[in-house]
Amino acid sequence: MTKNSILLLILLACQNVDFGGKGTETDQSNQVAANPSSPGKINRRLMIRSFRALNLTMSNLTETPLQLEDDGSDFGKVSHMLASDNNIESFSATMQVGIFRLATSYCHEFKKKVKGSNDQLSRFGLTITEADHHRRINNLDEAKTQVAEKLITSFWQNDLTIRANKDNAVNELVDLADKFIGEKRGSEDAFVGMCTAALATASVTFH
Amino acid sequence: MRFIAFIIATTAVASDYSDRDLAVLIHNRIAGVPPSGKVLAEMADLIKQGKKQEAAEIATDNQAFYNVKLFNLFSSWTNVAGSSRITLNDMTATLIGIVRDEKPFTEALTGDYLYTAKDEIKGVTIPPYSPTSNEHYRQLQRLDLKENLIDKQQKTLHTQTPFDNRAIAGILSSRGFAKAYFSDGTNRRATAFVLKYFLCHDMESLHDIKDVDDSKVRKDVSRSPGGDPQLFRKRCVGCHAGMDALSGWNLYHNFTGNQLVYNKDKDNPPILSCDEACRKKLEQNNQLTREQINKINFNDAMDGDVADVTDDSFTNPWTTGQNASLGWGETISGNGAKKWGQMITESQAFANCMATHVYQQVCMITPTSLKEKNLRDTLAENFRNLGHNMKKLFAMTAAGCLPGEK
Repeated sequence: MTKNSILLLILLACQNVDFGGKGTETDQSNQVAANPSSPGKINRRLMIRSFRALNLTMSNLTETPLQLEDDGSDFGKVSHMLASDNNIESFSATMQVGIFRLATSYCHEFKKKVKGSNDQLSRFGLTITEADHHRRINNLDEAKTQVAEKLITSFWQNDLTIRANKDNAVNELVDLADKFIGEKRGSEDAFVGMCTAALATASVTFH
Repeated sequence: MRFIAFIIATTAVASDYSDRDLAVLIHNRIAGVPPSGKVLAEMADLIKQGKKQEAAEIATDNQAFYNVKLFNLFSSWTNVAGSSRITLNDMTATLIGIVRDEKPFTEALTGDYLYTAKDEIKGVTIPPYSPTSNEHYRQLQRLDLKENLIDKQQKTLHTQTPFDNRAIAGILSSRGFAKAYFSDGTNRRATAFVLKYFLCHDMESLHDIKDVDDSKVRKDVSRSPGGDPQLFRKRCVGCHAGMDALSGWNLYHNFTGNQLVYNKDKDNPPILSCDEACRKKLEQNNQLTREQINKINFNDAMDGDVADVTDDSFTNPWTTGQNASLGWGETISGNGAKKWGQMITESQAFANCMATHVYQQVCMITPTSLKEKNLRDTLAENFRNLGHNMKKLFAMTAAGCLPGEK
């Protein structure tokens, strides 16, 4: 995952929002610049999910058990790297590292759950077995696209106009997965890689 | 970050929000997590019918509203540093429980109960409430707070140091509050932090040296600091005249031996906070009795010239002057924590402050413009009219500051 890729995903996900914080002079200048034609309107403000919210969000989206801070879990190891409040101005690169580590942890759990499921998950509709099938018939790209589409649809809430263009996001995710883990690896790794990429993007970590 | 903000600010375009967009937004703002598909559909449907507040009320049913949003907000009130990375304690649990049960939020400072874990929780064993340990709440924070909190009379919890009825006052007589604000010191910071979190005023913003009565300033404040009496008149008295007159309510409180101690025996006044090692040393030297010092009258910069504080009475000197703008109610003097909490929660500033906190949590901005302040004031008024219902205040606020609203 390159720095530019992260930046691009953040930009895609953050259209039509401003970075208003808690009423500082900087916030007000951003607000005016963001929407100069209608200063009387209340603008949408971007918020970072706090450490507790992020943990619960990732647990909910992957439908895996909540990690606790004091049980030796990955959340316990990275929670200090995550935001205490929702203020966008407190966002830092360190935080993004923590978000990725937490996303990876939840996606590994998620993979186990999907793999262990005989039925298709209602939320995702595509299992590792199906992805394996596509791979075996030399159609890895299609498998990856399908997985990426399911992940984006589920994590980003389909049909939301405030979100990024879905097709672009899916393509970006497949591309990222290729760079991140390489095309020759197994579909399980591809699944975790794409899940992590989708879960750690701005659409999930910001709101 | 500035660079990203600049790009977004310059590429943002106006757009309308669909009902689903608004539903996601409201849910995220209230609960801190995205909605499930079913809840999203339900909320979007209500928004379509123009029922935004009702939609927001659905979001307050989510477990995350209690385990994330309220936990983050209230835990930062339970420590001097203002950090939200604090383990659940009886103060935070009680504030969360009051919101959940839609009790008047004024009871946060006057109620005769605290929230603990339910006595029986299926499949989970939690150590019982202890006045000397927080383990009960440390275990409880792992669970769904919406489902597992219950209110209990404080009299059944303060088993080791019985409280007078007038000293039982919501979180003011909780262990979490005591640990943060009654340990060491002179207990003044308990007053200062309640003013900060429940009236949204730091002591600095209440500083007033015009026509003040300095007769209540305690004897640990020198009237001539550094040999300069002007300094006292121009600076010290501005805070101490009000703060010291207001602070008598907690005379008998202390946090020592890892617990909240209430002791009104004049011959055996509250002892100076002292850790175990310190106590052991005093015991060895047979000094414990002699070292039992009333912590509030401990420092004697003006010994002999200024009287000791002798009871838990308080008076409010801010009913005139600049601080009358806080809009005090009928109670302006009395004895004990309950009466004091009543005075704080009767004020207009209390309702305004709660509306400001919720506005910041939900709308992610401190109301500063006239439009924002007007909205905050309307929310505060509705909050009062609806019996200080904090849960409704969250829903009203979320429905009131949506993007694109005129």
